[in-house]
Amino acid sequence: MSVQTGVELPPGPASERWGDRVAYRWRVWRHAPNPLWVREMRQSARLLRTPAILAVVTILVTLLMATVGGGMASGTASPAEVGRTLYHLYFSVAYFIVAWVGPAIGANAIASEREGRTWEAVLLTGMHPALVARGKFASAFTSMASYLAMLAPVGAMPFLFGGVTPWEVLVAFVFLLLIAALAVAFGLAISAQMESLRGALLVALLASVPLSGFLYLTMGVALSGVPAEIWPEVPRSLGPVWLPSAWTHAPFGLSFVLLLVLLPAAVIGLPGWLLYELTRARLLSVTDDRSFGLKRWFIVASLLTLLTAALPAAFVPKNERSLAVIAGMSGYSSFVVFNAFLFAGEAIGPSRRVRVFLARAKRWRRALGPGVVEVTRLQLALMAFAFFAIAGIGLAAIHLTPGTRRVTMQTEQIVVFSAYALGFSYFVIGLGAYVRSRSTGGALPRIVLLSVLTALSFLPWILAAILGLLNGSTSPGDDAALIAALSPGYGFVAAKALSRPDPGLALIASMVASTLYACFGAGLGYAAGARCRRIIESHETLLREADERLAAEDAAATAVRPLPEAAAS
Amino acid sequence: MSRATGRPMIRARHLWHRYGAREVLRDVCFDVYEGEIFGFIGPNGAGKTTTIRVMATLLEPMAGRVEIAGRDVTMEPEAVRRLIGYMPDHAGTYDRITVREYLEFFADAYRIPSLHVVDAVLELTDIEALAEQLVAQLSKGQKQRLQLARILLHDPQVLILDEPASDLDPRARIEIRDLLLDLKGLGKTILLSSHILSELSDVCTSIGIIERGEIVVSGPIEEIAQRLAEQRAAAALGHPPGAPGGNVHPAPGGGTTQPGGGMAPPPAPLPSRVRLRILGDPTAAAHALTGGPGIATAEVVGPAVAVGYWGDESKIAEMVAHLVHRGFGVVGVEPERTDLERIFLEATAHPSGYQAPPPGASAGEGAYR
Repeated sequence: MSVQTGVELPPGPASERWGDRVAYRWRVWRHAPNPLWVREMRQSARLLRTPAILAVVTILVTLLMATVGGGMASGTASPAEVGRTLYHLYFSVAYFIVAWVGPAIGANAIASEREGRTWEAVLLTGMHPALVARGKFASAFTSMASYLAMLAPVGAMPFLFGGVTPWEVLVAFVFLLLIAALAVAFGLAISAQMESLRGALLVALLASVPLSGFLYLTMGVALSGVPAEIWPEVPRSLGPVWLPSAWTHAPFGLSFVLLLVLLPAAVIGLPGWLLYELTRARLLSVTDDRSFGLKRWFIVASLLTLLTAALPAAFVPKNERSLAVIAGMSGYSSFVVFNAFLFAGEAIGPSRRVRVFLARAKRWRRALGPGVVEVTRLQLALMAFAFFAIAGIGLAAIHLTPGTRRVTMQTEQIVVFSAYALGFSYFVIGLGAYVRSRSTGGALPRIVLLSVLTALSFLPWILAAILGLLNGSTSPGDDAALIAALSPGYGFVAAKALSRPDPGLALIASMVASTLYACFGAGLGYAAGARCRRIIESHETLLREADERLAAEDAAATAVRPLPEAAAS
Repeated sequence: MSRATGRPMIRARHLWHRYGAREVLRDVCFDVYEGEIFGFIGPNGAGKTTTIRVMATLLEPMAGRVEIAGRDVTMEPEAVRRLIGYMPDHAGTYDRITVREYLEFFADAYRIPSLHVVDAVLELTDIEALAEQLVAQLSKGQKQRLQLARILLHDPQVLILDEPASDLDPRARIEIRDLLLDLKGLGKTILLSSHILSELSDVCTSIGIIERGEIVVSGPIEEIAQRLAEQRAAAALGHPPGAPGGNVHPAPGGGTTQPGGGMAPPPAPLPSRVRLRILGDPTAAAHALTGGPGIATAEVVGPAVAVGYWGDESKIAEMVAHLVHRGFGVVGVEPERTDLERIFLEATAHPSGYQAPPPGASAGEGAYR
C-alpha cells in the first residue's frame, strides 16, 4: 500500500512460485515505490532551477559540438572522421558531466537531510537503512538520468556525418548510465558520512574531479589500443570511448564475453556494490551490525580478484608465467592493503543487541558478525588461500606445460615473491588489527596505517641510496640495497635477482624480510586479539553488574508494592 | 488512571552519559505513567535533550536503561520506534511539498496500512484547511502542528516533545496546549520538555526537574507541592529537615523520587507569595502586615502588596481579616507564583552536588568505540 500513490495493493502471493513472486514485486515497484523517491521527485518537480541548468548545459554542449564539427567539416577531414570525432567528443564531455555532477547530487542526498534537521524524523519511521540508501540512490540517479536525457538528442549529431553505428551510440549510452550510477553512489557514500552539506559537496568534488581525469586517461586513453592487440578485426585507433567500438568490431566468443562484458561489469559492479554497503553501514547505528554487508562484499570481491589475478598465468605465453603470477600477486596484495584500510574502522566486538541476534543466527552468519578478531581471521584466511591458489595455478601451469624454458628459475621466482607477498600482507593485516584495537574509532588506525606503509615503501630505499652513495656502489644487488628489503617493492628486486646466475644476498634478504614481516604480523595480530578480548570481557562484567543492580531494585520494588493485579485479586 | 494502579510507560533508570569529559547525565531516574503529561523541566544545558534522545533511540547511554512500555530502548529500538512519536526541538521540514504530501510521505515511511490516515491526523490537529499549502508557506505554529500530525500518523502510545512551544507566538502556544490536552484525552502518555514553566503549568500532571544532569525531583505536581508544604510547615515549627514529619519521600513509582532512588536533599522552605490588591494606601497596608506571625516580607507593588508568608491558605485568610479589621479594603487575592514555579524554585534552591558514579555505572549497552 502506498498513501503517496493512493494505490491499495493486494497482499503478497501465498504461492511459492517464482513467477508469482516476480509479478508481485513488479506490482509493488510500480504502485508502491520507495517513499523517499516519490517525495524527492515531488520536491524536484517544484524546483525551477533544475530545468534552467539542464537547458544551459545542453545549449553549451550543442555549441561545442557544432563548433568542432563545423570547423572539421570546413577543412579536409572526411565526414566519417568528423562523425567519429564528434562521437568521442560528445561522450567524453558527457562522461565528465556525469563524473562531476553525479557525486555532487549524491553528496547532497543525506547530508542535506542532516543539515535540514529532517534526518531523525526519517530514521524514527523505522525505515531500514538499506531502503533509505536505495531511495536516496534512486532519487539522485533519476536526477542524473534527467541530465543525460536532456543531453541525448545532441548525441545524435555524429549521425549527420556518419562513421558511427547506432549500436555504438546505444552501448555508449548504456555505459554512461552505469558510470552515472557509480558516480551517484560515490557521492552518496560520502554524504552518508558527513554532517554538513558543504563538507559533503567539497569532499565529493575534490575526490571526483582528479579521479575522473585519472580514470579517463588510464581506462579510456591508455587502454584504447588493447582491443586491437587481442582481436585483429578491431581497428587500431579506437579513441578514448573504445569499449562500444570494440563491442561492434570484436568477434563474439569466450574472450568477448570475458573481457568486454564480464570484466567491465565487474569493474563497475564491484565498486558500486562496495559503495552501497558503505552507505548502508554508515546509516546504521554504531550498535548495529555494520560489518556484515562489507564482509559479504569482501568475500565475493576476494574471489573475483583471485580469479582475475590467477587466471592470466594459465593463458599467457609459457615462458612468461612467473611474470603473470608476480603481477597477479601484486594486484592481490594491493587488494589486501585496501581491505586493511576498509576494516580499520571495524567494531571491537558486537554490541549486546547484535550478540542476542547472532545467538539465534546460523553458524555462517555468526562468523560474519562484527569484531576485530573475526574480521582479521577472515582476511588472513582469504589472503592465504588466494596466495596459495595464485602460486599453485602458476606453478602447475609451468610444470605441466611441456617445453617450458627455465622452469627452475620461474619456480624460484614464484616461491620467493609469494613468500614475500604473504609475509608482508600478514604484517599489514596484523598492523591494521592492532592499531584498531588501540583506538576508539576508525580514523586514527587509517592514518597510522597509511603513515607506516608510506614510510616502509620509501624510507628503506632512501636509506639504501644514502648507504650506497657512502660505499660508492650503484648496483641494486649491492649489500647497501639489502636495507631496502624491508620495502614492499623489494619482492620484485628479489625475483629479478633470481634471473641472474648469481642472485647474491637478495634471495636471503628477501626471505629474512618476509619472515620478519610474518612474525611481526603474527605478534601484532595476537596482541590485538588479546586486547580486544580484554575490552570485551571488562565490558561484559560491567553490563552484568548493571543488570544485577537493576534486577535487585526491581525485586525490592515488587516486595514493597504488590503488583496491581495481585492487589485487585 | 492513578500512579498506584497504572503502569509506567517510560522508565528511566540510572542513566549516565557524557560528551567527552563532560558528564551530561548523572544517574537520572524517573517514571512516567500511562496517560500522564509529564513536564521535563530544566534550564538550558541541564540534560533534557540528551535524556530525550536516549528515549527516542537516537543515543546510546553510557550506562543505565530506559524502558518504553516495558521495552528496552537499547535492545529493541525498532519496537520502541513504533511506540513513540518524537518531535525534536527545532525540527526541520521539507519545504517544497504540500502539507498533505508531507504527511503522505511519512505515512508510507511508517508503512501505515490505511489510505485515510492522513485525513484523520489533519482533522485531529486541525490543519485540514492547510492541506494543499506548501510547507514553506506555513507559520511556525502551523509547522509545529504539522510536526505533531506527523508523529501521530502511526498512532503512538507515547509522545516525546522537546520544547514544542519554543519560538511560538502566544496564540500558537495556546493552540498547542489545547492540542496536547486533546491528546491526553485520547489516552496518550506525553513527555514534554521545556525551560519555560508557564508553558507547562497548565497541562502537566507530573514533572521531573533536572539540573546539571541530575534529577532534582520528580512525581505528580500535587504530591510534590503537598510535600513541600509539609516541609515548610515542619520547618516553621522548628523541625529540622529530615526529622519525622519533616520530609516524606514515597517509594519510587508512588510519588516523588530522587536520583539513585534515595532520599532527596531537603528543599529550603521558601515563603509562599501572594499579591493583595488594596483599596486605599498600600504602603500603610504593607506596614500593617510587616512583622506579623508567619509573614516573611510585605512589599508595595503598584496598588497591591506582595506578601511572602509561611503556612497554608488559612494564613491568607488571616492576613485578609487582619487588614479588613484595620480598615483596609481588600479587593483581590492572587497567588504570585504558580505551584510549578514555586516547586521549581524550592526544589532547585539546594541542588544536590556531584555524585560519584556507583560501581558498574560505566557499563553501557553501546558498542565499543
